[in-house]
Amino acid sequence: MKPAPSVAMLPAGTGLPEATSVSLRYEIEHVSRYRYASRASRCVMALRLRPLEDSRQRLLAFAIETDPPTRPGRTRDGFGNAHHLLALQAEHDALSITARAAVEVHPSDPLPTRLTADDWDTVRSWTDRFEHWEFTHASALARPTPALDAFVREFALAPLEDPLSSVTALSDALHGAFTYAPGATTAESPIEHILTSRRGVCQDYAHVMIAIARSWAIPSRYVSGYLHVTRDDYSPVPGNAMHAWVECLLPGLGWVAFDPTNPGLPDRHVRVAVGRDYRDVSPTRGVRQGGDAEELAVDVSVRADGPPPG
Amino acid sequence: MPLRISGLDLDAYDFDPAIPDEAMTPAGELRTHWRPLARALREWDAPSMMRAFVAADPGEPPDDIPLLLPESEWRVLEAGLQQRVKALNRLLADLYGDAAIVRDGVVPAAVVRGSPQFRVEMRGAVRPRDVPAAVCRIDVARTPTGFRVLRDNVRCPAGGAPMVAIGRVLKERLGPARDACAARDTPPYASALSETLRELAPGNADPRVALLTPGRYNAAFAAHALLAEAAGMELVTGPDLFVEDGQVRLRGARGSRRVHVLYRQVDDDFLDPLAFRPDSVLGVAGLLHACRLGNVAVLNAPGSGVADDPAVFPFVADAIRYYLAEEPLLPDVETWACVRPDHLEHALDHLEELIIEQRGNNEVLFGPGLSAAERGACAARLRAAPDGFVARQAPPTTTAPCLLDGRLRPGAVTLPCFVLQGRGTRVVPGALYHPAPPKPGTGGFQEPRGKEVWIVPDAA
Repeated sequence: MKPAPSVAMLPAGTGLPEATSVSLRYEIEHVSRYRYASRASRCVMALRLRPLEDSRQRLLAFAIETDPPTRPGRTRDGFGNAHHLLALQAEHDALSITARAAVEVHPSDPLPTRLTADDWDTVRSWTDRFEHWEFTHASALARPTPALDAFVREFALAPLEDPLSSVTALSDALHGAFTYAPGATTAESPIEHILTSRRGVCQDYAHVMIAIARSWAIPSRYVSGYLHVTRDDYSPVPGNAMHAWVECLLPGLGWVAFDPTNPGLPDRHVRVAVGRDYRDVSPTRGVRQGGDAEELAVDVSVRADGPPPG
Repeated sequence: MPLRISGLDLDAYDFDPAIPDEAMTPAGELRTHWRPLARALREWDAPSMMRAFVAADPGEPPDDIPLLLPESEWRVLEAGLQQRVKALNRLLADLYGDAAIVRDGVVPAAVVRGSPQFRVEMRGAVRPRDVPAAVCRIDVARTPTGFRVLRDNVRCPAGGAPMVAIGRVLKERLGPARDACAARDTPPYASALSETLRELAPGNADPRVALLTPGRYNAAFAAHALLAEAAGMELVTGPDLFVEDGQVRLRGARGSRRVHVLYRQVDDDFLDPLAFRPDSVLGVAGLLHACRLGNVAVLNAPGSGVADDPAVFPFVADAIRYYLAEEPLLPDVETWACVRPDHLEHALDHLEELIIEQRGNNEVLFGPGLSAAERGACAARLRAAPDGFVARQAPPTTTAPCLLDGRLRPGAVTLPCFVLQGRGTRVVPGALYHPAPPKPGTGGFQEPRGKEVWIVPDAA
């Protein structure tokens, strides 16, 4: 199957499928179960589990429940993501965190097939802009390396006539170059792992794409969230885990989503957090005292709830 | 080294008439405002400082001889420092907010965002009326033509503990001389610090202020302990604190107590493992969260270091004009921001007389000391990445009488001035001198020793 390019990549006026012209509702349940080898005396965790609220997504309901019970407080981080702090000052040897969300997702606007060569000048003029500095410069997990240079040469990856075609082709190329292989890497693996083994998961695909797109001066950010997958879908990515993809800022189009791991399912994505790379958006990250080794089991379910009434 | 010091004679002070001196006119006459001190020193009899000084932190004992500043000159300095720190605080609040100063083209984005001290994690965490930089140390040079700012220290300025130690030691030794000079009472550093930090506490309750130290194995631990004791702060390490219900709390034998102000002596990177380096054990998990909620004042705020980045320094004067619509009252030491092509050219053309600094790098290159080959290598580095480089002209500093080996000798003096910004602004001046005879072209950049500054009445 030739992978479809990306989210809503059909050119305008070619007859978009009916389903994408109306908003979709999703109900999401995301359970993280930590189990420690021994008792921990306390722990503090940063949670990025609350889906983004913006012009493309409406959050209808959201709640976090933990066992043992806690009262997570909410702030925003430097990227505008919701951030909950969970503090547990009691002995425990297991902790489960359940986030439930109901989200309404508006379909993304249809994209043109291409932009113009002049749009490169616009993109390059953004390089030294204050606002998107962190998305045009290297970050901890998405940075140029010798292995990346070699990979770019091997696949002859280079900017094309216009920025949109360039990132579309890049996303397709990565999809073809890598094999989705759960367990081949960990969430914080450096891109060397996927670049040499050519096997990895969505985080790796996203980090490689971000590093290359930034090297072309295209502001690019990491998105974590959920993907709705049904039994009829062709999808290498399982629907019962968190997903990661990329957004690129393009002239006149705003932030446009590209999913190099799974380009076949446009507009099935629910965005939870954006950042420079995985480190900025990890859904659950914490420190604890005691407990020794930990086991984490994550279970995600994404259920389509049909279009909103009316 | 004599065991006692007595009968110091300023008339026998061996200064260099070619270099402007604080105490003497070029003709060798004692300046009027130094005369009371000269009389006091002649009658002075005290044990040598080496024996009297119980080192709290500095390896070198302070100098007995204060630097005298006439009241009128002090007022210029004080006003200039207040203005500068007001602008630095506005700059920080702006950079972590709308960044209007960058959008209006006053400061290039690359200068700010290229700074390793800019913390994107702090965006939106500093409100416009916040005081992110409560404790600043502005280093000022005394030049023959007036004061000039050498450097801003905003991140986590050192030098507070030596101020306290020097004040304590000299108070007893110099009390009578101070009275003889009619030196104005300046607030002791520790109480000025304490009042400032308390003023910035969230809420109106009687605030608890804690000094966060990396711990007893840190080289500056003794200094932290002295400062905490002198200013009435709890001395705490990261593991003593925890965040619950959005508040910072201090563990205690009988339950925990809320901390309202955290005067941190831990670098940004280690301050909160959930926001910055995840492997840090020196910080407090969730501190940034509590800070964003406005439940604790972390001072100076994480990310404050961008305001003292060497590459930002040349733009502080512009920030004063931009935010305050005033001309800077204190000029900077002449500095060229290599991000500007014309400034880069100037720096490259005058390498042999300039001091070159690169941000994120403690290396300072003294142009006058470089060989031709080293100058070439330096020029290549400047051309390759000009954004992070600045070049400064070492200012000609004045000398002042310093006690060296029991004799009065000239030392090059700079003024590290603490500017404490609470609801009001308190300026506590200090002085450092450089024991070696001042080398031309290097003023202000050698390992210094401490001195007191006395503000004395203007000569009638």
